[in-house]
Amino acid sequence: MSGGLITLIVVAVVALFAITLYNRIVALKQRRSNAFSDIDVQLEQRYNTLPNMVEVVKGYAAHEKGVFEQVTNARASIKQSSRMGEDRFAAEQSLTTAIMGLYAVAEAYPQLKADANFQRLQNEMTDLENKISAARRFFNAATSEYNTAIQQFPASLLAGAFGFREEPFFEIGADRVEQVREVPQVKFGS
Amino acid sequence: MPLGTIGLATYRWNNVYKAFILLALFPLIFFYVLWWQIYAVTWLTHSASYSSWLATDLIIGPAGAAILAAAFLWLIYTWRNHSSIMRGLAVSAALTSDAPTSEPRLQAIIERLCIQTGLPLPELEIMETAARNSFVCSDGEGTNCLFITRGLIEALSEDEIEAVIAHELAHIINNDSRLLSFGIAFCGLFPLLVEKIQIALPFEPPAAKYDIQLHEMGPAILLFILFFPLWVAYILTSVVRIFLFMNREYDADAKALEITKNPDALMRALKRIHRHARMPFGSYNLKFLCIDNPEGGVFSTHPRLYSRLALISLLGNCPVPEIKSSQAAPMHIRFKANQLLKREFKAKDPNAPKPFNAPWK
Repeated sequence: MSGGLITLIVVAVVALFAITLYNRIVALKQRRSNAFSDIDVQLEQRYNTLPNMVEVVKGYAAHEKGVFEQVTNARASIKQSSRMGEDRFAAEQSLTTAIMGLYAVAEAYPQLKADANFQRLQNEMTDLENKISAARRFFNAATSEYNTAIQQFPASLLAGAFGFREEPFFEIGADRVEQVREVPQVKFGS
Repeated sequence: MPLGTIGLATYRWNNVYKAFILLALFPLIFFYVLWWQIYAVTWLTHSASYSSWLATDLIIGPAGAAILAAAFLWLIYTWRNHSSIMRGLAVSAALTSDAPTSEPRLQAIIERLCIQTGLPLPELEIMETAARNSFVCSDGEGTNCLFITRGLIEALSEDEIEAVIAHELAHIINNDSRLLSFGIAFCGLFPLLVEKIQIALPFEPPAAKYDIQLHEMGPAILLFILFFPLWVAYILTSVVRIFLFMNREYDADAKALEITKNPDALMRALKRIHRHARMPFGSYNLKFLCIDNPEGGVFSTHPRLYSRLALISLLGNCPVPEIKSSQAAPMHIRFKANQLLKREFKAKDPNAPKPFNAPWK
């Protein structure tokens, strides 16, 4: 076998390897994007359900302006944010905090808490939050896989050359972590 | 493997490579056996001298090509005719199964998952037994049949059943029933060859043909030379098959995770199936495709429950649930546990003496 032929074979093998690797990285990136659309559907629904909830709360506690403003600001910042960027994740987190504020208001108004409409909306929201957290777990797993892949050795060369960058996780905000970690206080009687 | 295993997608990609390597071993083993046989036969039919080696080498050249062609044809034959093998398995199971019963809840889950994965709706058969298990068969013409036991439907919650069905659909998507029949055909080949050779071999070796050396060795050695490689090949293919199917089980779990995105439900389902998976019927080969098969001990066709849960939790980004020590135990302890389990299923002997004398008699 001549030297030229061997070189040709080696080059062909390396090229094939590089093409496979490139396609795999693209597939991983696409998987992350697909995983986000699962969350996106739920987030969209939450975004659309929220005004109804605000209306119900306003009926009982119209003067709690701070909370309503928080909700409005959070919704506005979601509108302006990119689809999968860090700003979107931060905006969604602030919306979650705002929803928590709404719940806190309800705690102070027993009539509001007992309102059938409010209860229905609250159940709907809880269901949505559960779905979001399940979808987020998958999204973060896909993100971690993609980020690790583009940092591993032969892939990192390609990733650098073709501009694949590390992508952010959709993490639970620091303030939210505090809330989750707090042990809920249960009181019986009055 | 361009990328290491770092998550769900890379795990599934690398699994395909492993399966290919395992599959490639089947023809290799086949080739090794036939090569050995030709060597042995030519050596025996010529005198064991220098000229015999020469003759063997002369035969091996064209025979090698013929063997390769034969192995390849056998491979294609089993690949194309797997439907009849699968049908045979399905019929043996259908004997104990009921006609499709209307199960609206189950049908709704199956429909939802089929729409999601883009598969045609499989036929549904319910096996009337308290055991919790399920498997899927393809008949090769695009019709799939999903078998589920009554025990599984009644014991598991909706999201757990969804996870089980997703696992079975993953087997359909991966075309594992084709692989199964392929494994059966290859494993069954070697005992078949032993049988054929026994019929064809004239067992008074014509003394005039052989030289003194062979006379001294006697027919026992002859038998050994001819049959030993076949048995070795049989054991090798069985082991390769077990690894192949463990690989497919893990892969179906990973794919199910991708479909349902609910690792908790899949882990709960596997835990709840594990202790009750023993089906009172079904052949050994069929049990390769069941979601869990507690039989087999060291040569179990399915991976240990703990390994499966560990993998799912890793890929699904969630913690491993607690499992009982016997399920997490190493193989030899698990084997003992299986022996104990077997006792429950022994048929009662009507003539057996009563354990105690009734005091009222």
